[in-house]
Amino acid sequence: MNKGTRLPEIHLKRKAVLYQVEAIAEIRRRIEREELISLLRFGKEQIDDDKEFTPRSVIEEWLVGFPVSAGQRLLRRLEDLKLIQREEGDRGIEFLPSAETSYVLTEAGERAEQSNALFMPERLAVVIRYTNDPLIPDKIVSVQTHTERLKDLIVKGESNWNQVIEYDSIDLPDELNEIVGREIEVYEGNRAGRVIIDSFGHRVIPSQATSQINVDLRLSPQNQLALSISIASQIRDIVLSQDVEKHLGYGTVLPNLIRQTGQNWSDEKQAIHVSFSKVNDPQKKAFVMDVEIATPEVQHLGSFESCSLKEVPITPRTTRDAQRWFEYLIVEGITTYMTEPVYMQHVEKQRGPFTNLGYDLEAPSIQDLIDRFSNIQDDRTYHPVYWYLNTPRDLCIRKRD
Amino acid sequence: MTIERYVIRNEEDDRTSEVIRDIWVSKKKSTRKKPIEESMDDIVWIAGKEGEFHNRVVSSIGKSSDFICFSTYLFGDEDIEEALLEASDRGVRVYMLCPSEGMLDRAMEDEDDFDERAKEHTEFLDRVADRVLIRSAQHLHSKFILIDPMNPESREGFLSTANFNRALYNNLELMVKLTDGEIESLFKQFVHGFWEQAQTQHKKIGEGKGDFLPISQPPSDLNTSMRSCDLPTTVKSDRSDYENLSLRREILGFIGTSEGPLTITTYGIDVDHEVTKSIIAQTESRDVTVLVPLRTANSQAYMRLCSAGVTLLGIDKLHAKVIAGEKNGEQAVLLMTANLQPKGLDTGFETGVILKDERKSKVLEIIGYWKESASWIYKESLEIGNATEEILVAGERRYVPELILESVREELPDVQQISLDNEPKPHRKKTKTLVKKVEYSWRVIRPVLPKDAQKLEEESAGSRPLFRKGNQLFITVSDEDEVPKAIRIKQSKYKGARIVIAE
Repeated sequence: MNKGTRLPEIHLKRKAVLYQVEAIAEIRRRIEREELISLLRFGKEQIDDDKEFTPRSVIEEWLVGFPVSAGQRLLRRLEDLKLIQREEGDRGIEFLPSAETSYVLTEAGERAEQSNALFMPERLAVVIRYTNDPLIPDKIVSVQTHTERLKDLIVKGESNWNQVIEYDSIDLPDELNEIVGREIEVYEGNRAGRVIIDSFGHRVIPSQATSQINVDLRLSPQNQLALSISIASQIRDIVLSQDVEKHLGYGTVLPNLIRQTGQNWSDEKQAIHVSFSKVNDPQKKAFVMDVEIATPEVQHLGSFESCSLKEVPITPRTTRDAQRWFEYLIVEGITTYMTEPVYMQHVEKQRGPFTNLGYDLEAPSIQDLIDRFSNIQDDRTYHPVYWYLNTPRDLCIRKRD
Repeated sequence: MTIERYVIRNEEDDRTSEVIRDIWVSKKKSTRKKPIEESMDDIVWIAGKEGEFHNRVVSSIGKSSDFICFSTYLFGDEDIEEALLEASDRGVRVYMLCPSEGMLDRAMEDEDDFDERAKEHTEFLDRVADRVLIRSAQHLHSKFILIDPMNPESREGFLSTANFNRALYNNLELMVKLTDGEIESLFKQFVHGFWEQAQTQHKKIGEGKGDFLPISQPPSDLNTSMRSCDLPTTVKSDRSDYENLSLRREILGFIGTSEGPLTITTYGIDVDHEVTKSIIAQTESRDVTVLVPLRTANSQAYMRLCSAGVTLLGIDKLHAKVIAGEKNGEQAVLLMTANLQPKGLDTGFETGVILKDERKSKVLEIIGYWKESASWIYKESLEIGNATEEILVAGERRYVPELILESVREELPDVQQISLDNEPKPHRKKTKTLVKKVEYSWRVIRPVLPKDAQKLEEESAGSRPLFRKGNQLFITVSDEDEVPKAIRIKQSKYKGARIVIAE
């Protein structure tokens, strides 16, 4: 690779379709209740030690010094949150359990104890937006409460609030399967809360109108990836999945993109092979060019909007191209009067990039260039190089003087 | 004797002792048997209509093979231009030092047709842009051309007091061929001037159009020092710290240490300059002759020099700058491009050559010829009576001819006499004409008794009746002989009366 050459950042963009459904969801909302977690943990320890987890054991070993009724109320609370259940079966109609009622942890209780998080059951009307863009690992882009819609659905009798509907019975888009049972972020107005959607209620309405989100992917030469989406003028960074990441190696993507334009990429030199005659003056001097790609495609990840790769390194296609290029830079760089030593320094400076590219080139001597530019140009003048090189040779006071 | 109604008066004004100042009087020219040739053995030239030096330069340029160094204040010669461009076309690099249009100072070369010369100079620069490499600065005044200066086989060089334009034909100028050593020294001055003294470089900016653009520093490893230059020079400008006033020192030394008659030719001379004062100081011990052109810009200096005893000989179109005297029993000659002025000797880019070989005798011969053939000699002041028929007086830029007339007759307006005892003189306007004698003539109209004056029956003035008009009394006379008596009567009895002719 050309020493000091900087490869360009790859910036790919496209618009992904955003689908929308409205649904009623049974959720569990995360709540911060450290003491309940602690109590669950106590219960788990009791059970693991083959001891009983009762209101009495709570006040005797956990909430010491409090009356048994306190233990009854606490366990009742956990029972209401479905984090514990009675060993004996369904609870009765009494408000509080007896002092000796024995409990075990439910699955939810086990999860809460292990995850250190409690979730309060709730029913929400939500608007779920999702996409099927392969770049985005989590298809669900946003879940937003829709309180007014809930009221509307209930009032119209389209939803029975007390009815628990299993989600299997509802025809959900596949993408929504992923979020059931998973802790997700739900936006309520400007606030976001963490919830677990246990199931979706009766009404799931796919929205007729779809919108788009902007997907923005950046790959750096150091293989740093950054994916973000923007929705409702908010930008959100997305963590790529490993499955997606494996297709986004910079060293693979860049050459493939270059080749899509018909250019010839050199892996060895990490640059585009170009003919001297096909590059313009600024490109010759900087050894880079911008590459426009009309419909860039990344394997397995689809196509993107047209993009531009800025300052892609270029390298001479052949030795002849390199020689012409070298001499071009020498001549173009002569912008003031040069003595022989100064000219040699100038030549070596121009030679550097070609040496790095593995070329061993011959430089014209001062006399060669003088001879080359000794002809009057069409506008009846001499090329400036003629004077820049001749004058210091002519007009100098020799050492013997 | 009857009394006339009017009389003619005549008067002469002798102006011979009137002094005129700042003039040139004609000088008797001596007849030389053989005129000076334009080219003297191909080593010294004067300007002339054959253009010998011009042709020589063209020929020399045509033989160049390496490069040419060319310095001039003004340029305007088609043949030399063509020769330079042909040389350029065959690969000879042509380098030139001269002022740009905006840097030309009329005071440096106050030729009568300066504007036209400046225009042709500028047009030349635009035509040759980028085929000839031209650098400029305001103080570049030296005039020389070096052909292949670093090639001992083919080099030639010429120093000129003339600009490379029609001055080569029209003026009184001197040009010399340079020796190898002088070429090398002058080359050093040129190199230094090009890299260190020049302020801008000419660049083509369009078809037939060029402009002077700022220049950058020379390559740092390039030797541009002229410290080993043997020729006396003036090299000083705002751009560079380097200063060399060896030309002024050489001149002062020359003037101060030379003996015998001192002869100087110059185009410009400054009255207050140290060199001028040094010249004046020499008049105490020897003859000093200065040949100058007929320019009023130098008037102050002319007056001072003349009053000090310097012989000033005026020659139209003189432009050469030479100092000639004796040193150690031998004639010595310094030929230079500088005038005796601050711009030439204190700041500027000028060159001098001390002529020691055959060129010296030829230049002396030319100077001698000019002295003999000079038409004018300066006079700080002169009585008109001593002036010859034609002189030169100060005009706007030059001294212009003026004739001295022997006499002129001038008719003055009539004068009306009020009373016969008092005859006024007419007003004489100062004439600008230079004349030795002026004869004035005018008519006196004698007073006559007003028609409506009333005779005073009861009084009379002697035998003559007395008249009155208003408050004015009139004594009448009818004869010349009566006038004296009338005057006595008036003085004794009628002091305010007027003596008039009776109708």
